[in-house]
Amino acid sequence: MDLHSIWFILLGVLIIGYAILDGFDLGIGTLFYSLAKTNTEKKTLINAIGPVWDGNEVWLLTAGGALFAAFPFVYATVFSGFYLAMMLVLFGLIFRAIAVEYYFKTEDDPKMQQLMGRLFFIGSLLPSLLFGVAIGNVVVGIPLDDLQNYSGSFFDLLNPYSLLLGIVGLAGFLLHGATYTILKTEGQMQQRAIQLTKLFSILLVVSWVLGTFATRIYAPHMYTNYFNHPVLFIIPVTTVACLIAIPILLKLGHFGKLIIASTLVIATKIGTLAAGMFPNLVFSTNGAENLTIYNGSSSELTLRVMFVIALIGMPLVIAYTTYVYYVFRGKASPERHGY
Amino acid sequence: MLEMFDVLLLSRIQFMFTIIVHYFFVPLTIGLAFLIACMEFRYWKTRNPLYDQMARFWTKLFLVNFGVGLATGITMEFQFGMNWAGYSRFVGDIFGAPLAAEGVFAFFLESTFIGLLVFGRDKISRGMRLFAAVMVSLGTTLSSFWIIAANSWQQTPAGFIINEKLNRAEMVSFVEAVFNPSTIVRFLHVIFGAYILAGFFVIAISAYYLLKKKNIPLANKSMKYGVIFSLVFSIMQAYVGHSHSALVAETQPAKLAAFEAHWETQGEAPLLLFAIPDAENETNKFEIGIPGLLSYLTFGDRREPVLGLKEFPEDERPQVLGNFIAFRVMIGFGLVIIFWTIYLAFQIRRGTLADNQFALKTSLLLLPTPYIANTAGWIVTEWGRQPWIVYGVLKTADGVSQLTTLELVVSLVFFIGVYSFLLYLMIYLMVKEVKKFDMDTFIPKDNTLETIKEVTT
Repeated sequence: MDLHSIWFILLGVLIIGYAILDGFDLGIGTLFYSLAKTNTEKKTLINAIGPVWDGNEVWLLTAGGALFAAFPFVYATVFSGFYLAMMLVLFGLIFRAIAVEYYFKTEDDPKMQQLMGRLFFIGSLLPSLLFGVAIGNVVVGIPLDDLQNYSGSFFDLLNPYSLLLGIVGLAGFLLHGATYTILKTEGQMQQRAIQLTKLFSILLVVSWVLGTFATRIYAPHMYTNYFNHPVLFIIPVTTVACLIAIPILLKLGHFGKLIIASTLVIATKIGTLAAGMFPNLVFSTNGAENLTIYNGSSSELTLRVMFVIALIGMPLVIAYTTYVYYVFRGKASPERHGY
Repeated sequence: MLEMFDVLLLSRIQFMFTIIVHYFFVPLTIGLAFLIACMEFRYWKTRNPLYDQMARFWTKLFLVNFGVGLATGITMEFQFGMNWAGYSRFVGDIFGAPLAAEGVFAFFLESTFIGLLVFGRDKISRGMRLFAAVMVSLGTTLSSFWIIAANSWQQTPAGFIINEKLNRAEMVSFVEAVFNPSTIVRFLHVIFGAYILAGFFVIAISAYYLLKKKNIPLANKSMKYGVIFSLVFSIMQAYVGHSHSALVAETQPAKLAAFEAHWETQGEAPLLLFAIPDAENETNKFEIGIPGLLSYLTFGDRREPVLGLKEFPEDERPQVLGNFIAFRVMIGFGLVIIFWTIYLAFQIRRGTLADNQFALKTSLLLLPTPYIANTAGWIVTEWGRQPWIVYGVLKTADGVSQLTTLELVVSLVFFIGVYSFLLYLMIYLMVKEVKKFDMDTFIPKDNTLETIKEVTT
């Protein structure tokens, strides 16, 4: 395997890591008003992600940095091409950061705290939806000029196929947020989360099936790798298996296994797309060359240096992240933590 | 062409605005993280609950600041690709690696351990708390190292070749690119600037409590930390800052000439204390200077000639007036900081500070000083490098994304709106936390209660 392919996989790992970890933060934020009805419940929900959300978000920043370093042409094309959409994601992330950090700090000013709650909701909803839309566009293809710049407009990005992928992405985050809430809370809020898990597993099944057919029509190139290497079908089959398992696990009350299932759903959803795209990173629709892991990448030396950095750094990251999750295991409480 | 110019200008304004606001929070994060780690260390060592209360109190304020710093920091990573696609394509092979390293080695560290320090305080041992505080400080410091390495490469590019076919810079040596000629001195300059700022922040808030006769033990002790910090690092900063300008003279002569409004190449070059630069006629309308001092400061020799702006084609000269003023603002405020902390140190030694109304009130008023000095420093760094985005290699105009004026106007308006709200929110919460805090009712939840009993009996 060449370095370019290794970086394709590493980038996939970072994106999947982000989607799994920050996925439940985003899901919980979007479900903030559906899950929590009382002030105590709202506080509990914020505390459920409070200690870890910041570290989770770093997966996105690192994925962004890795994309810049390993595939700078792709980073430049996508970030400048999707300019206004990126701005929306960015403001979403800014609002979410502020809302979680300041929710308890605005406690004695109910209006301000209410505003923080709204920012938490909108700041989680925007990225949850737009990540899928962005991936939809990359998959279905965008028009590129001879300098590799995106030559469409903001509204071209909101095409039906990409919006459908946005829904698939959103449904995944909502499901994941609900299963995480089941694990971290008790009582009424847990009951609501159980109901929502049922609802979103159905929404996800429907949108996922629709997405699969729509891809056959709008982005048939995504099936090429699958027909050439049928073993790849194991990835979407895992998604299906997990989606079937979710209602069963819910009925049995195996909540720990439930979150493993929703984690796998998110991981294999992204894996399914990645396997179809390889070795492309951005498809073009107007006959211009696709951006691939070869023509979009950095030099061999940079890829090698970056690989060493990842080999040294990521095991450490995983080790202390695991430790911190271990410290914060168990149910979340509504109290303010000394700050 | 006009369209393109608008996009370039608006992109530059947007970058300037977003980075200045972001850097309003960064130095305090770096400096206060180090101070808090020192307090945690004292607590771990002495078990004196005062240090515990100090660490907790300053962590409270640290968090208010950190929230906005984090939020405005996400923008920076997005913005290279969004607004500077040409730049990203040209330098991605070199510039991307330190950014990714910053994520892997620094962001994870600070973000993960902040969660542990704040939410886990009562779940972990004192030793683990110290470790978490040290990791947060290490994370913020490493973060500044990597980003300064990347920015230094823009000032003094090294370890690369130009690939004509792909029209980009390619790395030939990672070590040379990261440790390019200006990385270390600029890293120290930035870190010391951050420590001084955090010191001044601690001084100002402690002064406020001493004036209000509230939280006095905490304020007295914190005041000492702030003064020692600011004093030590501002004196070291004078030396580092001086070495840095000497390096700029060597590596970016046009920049230094703009800082000094120095037009003619000449020996015995004067250091101008006051002047009105006139770019049109390539001279200064009025100047007062110390003869030979610029040559002496730059090369250690009065007779050595310093390159003047006239050596450079007109379109490769930085804006003179703005850089000249900002450079003097940075140094002027830097000197104020040094003299003021020396004065405070004497007051503390004589034990008269707590009752010295003038010293306390002025300390509070001087809080903006290091903020202004840091900002002015960054303005000359980036503005003085123009018209280059990578000095001598790539012009800023060639780095900008192909966007429309409308897109830029929309994003800029949103940035100004959202960032104003963030600034307001941050100051509002900071003031509220400071006013509300009362160390007598602020009872820590963990084992420190027993420690207090032990100490009092």
